[in-house]
Amino acid sequence: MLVLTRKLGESIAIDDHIKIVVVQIKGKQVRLGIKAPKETKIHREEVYLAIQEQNKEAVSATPDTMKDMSKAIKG
Amino acid sequence: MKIKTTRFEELEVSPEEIIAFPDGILGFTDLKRYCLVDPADETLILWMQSLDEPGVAFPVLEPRIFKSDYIVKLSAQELKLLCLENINQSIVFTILTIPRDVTQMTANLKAPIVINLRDQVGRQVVLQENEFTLKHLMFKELKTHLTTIAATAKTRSETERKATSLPINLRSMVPSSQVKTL
Repeated sequence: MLVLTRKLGESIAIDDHIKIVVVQIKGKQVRLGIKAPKETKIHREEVYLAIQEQNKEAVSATPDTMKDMSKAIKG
Repeated sequence: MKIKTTRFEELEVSPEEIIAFPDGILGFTDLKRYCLVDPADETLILWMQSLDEPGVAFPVLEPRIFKSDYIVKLSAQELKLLCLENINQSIVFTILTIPRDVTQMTANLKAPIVINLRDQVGRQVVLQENEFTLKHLMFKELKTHLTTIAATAKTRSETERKATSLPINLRSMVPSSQVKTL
């Protein structure tokens, strides 16, 4: 992994079109500004972890749950 | 080919029913082949069954059924990964989480499944929109939709209904109009 040191207001350029700026440093928090083409998908890593968890929960359903579901819909 | 499943016993799957997921599903990245199974239970919910892991099947539902204004916007990179030259040959599904109390079921709008029906390639895409949640409550909308269908299909006799769970031929599916480009 490439590690770079940056000061407040300084940036990192990725390829020609992506720029990441250190906008604010406050205690243990860093605020980053990201300038990128609208094509670029940018997510907090937690989003991916949350989706993984949600997928694992989804797989636990069984056709028995579906029988309950048929009942709930008719009822 | 014959595949083993924990929910539908043994299924006979034909080549045109197999969907390749080159990157797997988030949290299940080792599983690269699925098929859609119609459980014949009239709930409109299908199951995306892994061909390689009998216990892995996701309940999925087309979002048009419960959220007509939902749009999935794909990036150029996602179109490429899905081999999608024509957006109109794709279908979108949301993965459902169905708890014990089924009225609390939710759909994942943040990360839907898009399938290229012609090339039989699928991908779970993560959408940028912050308003899309992982747990969108939708039981009420599904129930309304099913009640409407039931009212118009009353003439169909009981014997006409198929009773066994079968894999779905992708060529027979109607493409979704909810997939767009960014």
